[in-house]
Amino acid sequence: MQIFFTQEFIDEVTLISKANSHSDCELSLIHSVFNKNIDEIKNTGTKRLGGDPNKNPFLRKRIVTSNSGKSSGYRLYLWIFYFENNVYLLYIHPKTGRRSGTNLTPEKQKELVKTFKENRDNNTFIRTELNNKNKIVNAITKEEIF
Amino acid sequence: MESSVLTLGKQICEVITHDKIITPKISEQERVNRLLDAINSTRTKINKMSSNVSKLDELFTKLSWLELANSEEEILIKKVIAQAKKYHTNSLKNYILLKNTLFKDGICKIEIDDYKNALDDFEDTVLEIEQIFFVLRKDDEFNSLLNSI
Repeated sequence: MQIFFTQEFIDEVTLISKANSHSDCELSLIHSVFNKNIDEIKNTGTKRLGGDPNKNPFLRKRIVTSNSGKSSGYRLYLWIFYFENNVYLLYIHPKTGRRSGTNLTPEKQKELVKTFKENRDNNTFIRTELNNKNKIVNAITKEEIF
Repeated sequence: MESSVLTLGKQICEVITHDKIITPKISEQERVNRLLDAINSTRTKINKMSSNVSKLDELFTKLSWLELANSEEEILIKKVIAQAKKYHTNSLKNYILLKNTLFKDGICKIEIDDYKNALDDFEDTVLEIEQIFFVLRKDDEFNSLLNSI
């Protein structure tokens, strides 16, 4: 399974992680996405917003934070392409705190679909992987992302 | 019957002396045990309520993987969403009651917090399901964007 980020996603995680209460954002992503397979990602607290459920569903996933218990956590917007075995992470927000939010508006969700299309058309997704220090890195440059 | 101060005084003393102290039917230990049992039973009930809310959340989440095939299904889902909102409102009242009573006294605090979190997630899910079926998937621009991918 290959996992891709948009630059916007990286920027958002960087901003979120600045708050002490959400300094575990990278770890939570590793636990909920990088350490799972596609079916596990799809089947745990994940709603389909649109797209073909068997080919390329556009999803919103609830992520339980690794350090604050159930009361906190994140909401992750992603796209899965089964036939490519690819997962594209588009947007994330914490459930609580300054950068929290309830469900995204339909307009924002449409924007995410446009962002996905643009990145896919322009081949600007950033392929990522975990290094041996359990950090998310750019799969090509091997540089730590966060 | 002879009645003098002496005899009456003796009788009174006798009654007082022989009046037994009634031992409480429930000892202090039993009282504590009963209280602990009641707390445990309440804890189990709150956990059960949280588990029901989580189960409902899961069922609503599964709905999102389906499409509404006809107007009958659409009406059914609208009804289910309305019921779920009502259920959430009533459950929230229940939570407030627990918060203002047991929680205040430091009883079942973790369970009450978990119940509130489950309710928050459930509300979030119900509103999202409503948005998915009745706003997003009915939006021509959204559908056309999805089709372009």
